[in-house]
Amino acid sequence: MRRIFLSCALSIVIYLVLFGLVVDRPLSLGLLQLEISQKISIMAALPSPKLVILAGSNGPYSHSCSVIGDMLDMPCENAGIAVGIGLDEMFIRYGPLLHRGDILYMPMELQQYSATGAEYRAGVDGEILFRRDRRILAQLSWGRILGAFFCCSLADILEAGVEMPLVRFGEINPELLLAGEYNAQGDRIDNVRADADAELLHHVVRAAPDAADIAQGYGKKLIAGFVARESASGILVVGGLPTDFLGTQLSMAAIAEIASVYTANGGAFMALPNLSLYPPESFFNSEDHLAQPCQFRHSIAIAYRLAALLHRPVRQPSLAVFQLAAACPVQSMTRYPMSAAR
Amino acid sequence: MLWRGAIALLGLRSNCGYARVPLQQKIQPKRVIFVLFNTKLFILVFLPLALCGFLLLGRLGRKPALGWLFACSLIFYAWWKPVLVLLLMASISVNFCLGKSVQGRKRSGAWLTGGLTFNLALLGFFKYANFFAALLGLRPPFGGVLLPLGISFFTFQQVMYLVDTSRGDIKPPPFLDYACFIAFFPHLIAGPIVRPAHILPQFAGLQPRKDWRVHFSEGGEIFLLGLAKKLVLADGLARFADPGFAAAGAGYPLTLIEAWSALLAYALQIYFDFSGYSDMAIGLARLFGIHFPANFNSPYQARNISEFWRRWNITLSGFLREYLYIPLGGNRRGEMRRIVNLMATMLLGGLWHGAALRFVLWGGLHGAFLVLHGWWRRFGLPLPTFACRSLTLLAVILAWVPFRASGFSAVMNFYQGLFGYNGIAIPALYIKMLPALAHLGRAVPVLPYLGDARSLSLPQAAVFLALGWFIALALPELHSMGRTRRSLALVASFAFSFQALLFAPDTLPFLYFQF
Repeated sequence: MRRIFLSCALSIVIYLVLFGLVVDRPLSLGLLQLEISQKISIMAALPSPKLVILAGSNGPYSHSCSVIGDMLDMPCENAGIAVGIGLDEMFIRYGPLLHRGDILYMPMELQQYSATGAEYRAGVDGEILFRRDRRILAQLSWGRILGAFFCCSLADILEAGVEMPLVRFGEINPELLLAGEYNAQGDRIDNVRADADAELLHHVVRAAPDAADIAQGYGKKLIAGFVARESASGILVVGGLPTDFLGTQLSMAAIAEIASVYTANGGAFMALPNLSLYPPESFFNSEDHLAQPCQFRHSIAIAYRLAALLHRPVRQPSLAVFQLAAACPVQSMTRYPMSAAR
Repeated sequence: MLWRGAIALLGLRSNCGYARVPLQQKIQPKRVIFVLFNTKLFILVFLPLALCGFLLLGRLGRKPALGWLFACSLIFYAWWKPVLVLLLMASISVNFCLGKSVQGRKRSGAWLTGGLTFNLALLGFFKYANFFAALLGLRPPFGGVLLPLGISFFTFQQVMYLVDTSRGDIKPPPFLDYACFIAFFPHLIAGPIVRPAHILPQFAGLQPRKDWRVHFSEGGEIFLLGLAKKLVLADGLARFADPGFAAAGAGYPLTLIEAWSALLAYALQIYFDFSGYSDMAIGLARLFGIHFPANFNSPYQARNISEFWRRWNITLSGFLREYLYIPLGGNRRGEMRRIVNLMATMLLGGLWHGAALRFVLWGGLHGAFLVLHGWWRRFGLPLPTFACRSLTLLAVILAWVPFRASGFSAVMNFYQGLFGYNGIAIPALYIKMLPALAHLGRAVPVLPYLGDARSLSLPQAAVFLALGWFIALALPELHSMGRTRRSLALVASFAFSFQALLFAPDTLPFLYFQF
């Protein structure tokens, strides 16, 4: 009996030492952390009032701060990273950087609302926090801290076994790498339509969560709490819908549930007439990631809507932006005629 | 600069979590509503309560402890659909009475025939009524018959009991002993199928509190190592097996690497899943002082297909041999009859695994392999051991396709991928790194049906498969390990089991739990 207890205890100790101090996934997670820290630095340097777009990867792929910020004449940072990064962590990081008068647009992925507490505890960011950022980890709930301590599976250690030597013996410059993927405002810029993965897009399948999933989600509670706190601090929080495939079964009840997360907590909510749904050929490599022409087209539409909501003047998009947006394979852009372009 | 493209394709930074939901999640719901051995509810609540009650009531004697064990087993069984306990109780009661009747009576043969008919009719109705109705183009009876958990296993147990009792191998035990033997929760829903003569005397002589520390130590260790096989290895491999088979089922073209990765992963997954389950059952029984026989013995190390079946699901193989193949005549009535008996046994064995023609095909393939092996042995053609093992392994692995695929079209689709009919696709990242690979296959951004569909999925699968096959082919089975090896295995695996049990958001059910 004693031998078994000792074996189990030793196993736990070795596990914690390995994942806390030794094992790393510099390609999968190291770059995520670098991306987070870069976006935080940029956001901290922006003057207020500023516009911040916060979502998962739908944020940087499907929205362009360079387009929206230019049209609204506001400094803008596209702060979204990825769905797997816990919102509690993101809110702790970004909350102090938001100031009275700032506008926070949140087209959160539906799964961000419906995610359960268990999914949060098992989030991919647990490994980042435990290995690389224990200061932030210490500010999270006990469940999250324990989840981060036990973040990793056998697959993770095997993946580390692949990634660590690749980085150790390769020629890799993470900063250069990110510079090729993002612009200074945090928008994804490598999602050119010619490189879209049509085969993958043809086969991806995803079931949208229904209103009940969203209403009961742990993520919804986190978002609602954040909206309430930031609204009370004089920040205008505007909820929105993430991009997805046309034909996604998104019920009106689910949209109403999402809207209430914002409107019931002092924020606002806006939805485009197309509910941010686009045909699959508009996307790059997943349902959340528009290819660049549609990223621009979607951003122009968002800018007009935000301007109306904020009662701000709106500038027309530049000719270059307009021309690229016109290549988006959706309904014609008659709403935004060419003559309107600068 | 090579890495710019490489990392751009990594995908995780923009897709971690939910962005790409694998196809299989739509096909195979993951939420588990059963009290399975690998759930928190079972390990943290049910098992400690069952053990505490067993030991406390054990102070009062054997019968109160057995009564508690039986009650716990019924609760365990009732968790999914309480009404099915009535079926289990009815089956146990009828067979208990039949057991009394088949022993030492003049017309015991008639009673035995009646008993076998009752059991097979029960199994046939609940397990195969929908299947045969569909084959005949009829509506399923009663709008579709629900398959009770473990009916294949507790029915076979009782068939063994009736046959052994009629042969005079065992005497009918008291009802409580018999009910505990059948309903004992460690083997109730997925085996192992244990011989009555092996288990009933153990229940008869059970001393609940005697050597309980030794039982806890031995049983606990086996249970934990079985749990690790399931949670760490089998569930970890599922992410490489499921997308390929789901894609084949949906009619998507699998390329060579995707198909072989999925198949190699599935062959390991089902082995670790079922042998892990069996080890957990053995460990659980040991906690209560009952010894179950080993059910696996490194089957992928077998040198021929006959040996494979002596190493894979040993208790089921033994049942089929003792209660079907030999009563049919075995190999005692000439070559043609041997072939017929062998094929009948394996086809029925396949059908037992599930009411679908693909299981029959799987059984038929193994029957054909056994026939071919018999001829090969007869001609005495020698092969090096390595070649024997490789050939056996290849045959077994290829036969898993119909076992796992969702239908005949999926089977054909999958075989097309395996044999290169859909060509070879290689992630562009690797072609950039090694341009010579461009001669082997076409470049694609990612392999959509391999793991999480990332560029890194390929080395991930390769490393995981290498580890899994090393364990399966080079290491001994748990029951052949000494104390030191078991301790090392526990040190290596416990923390991962702990992590998967307490922190993974979902639990994957055992592959064998509803056969």
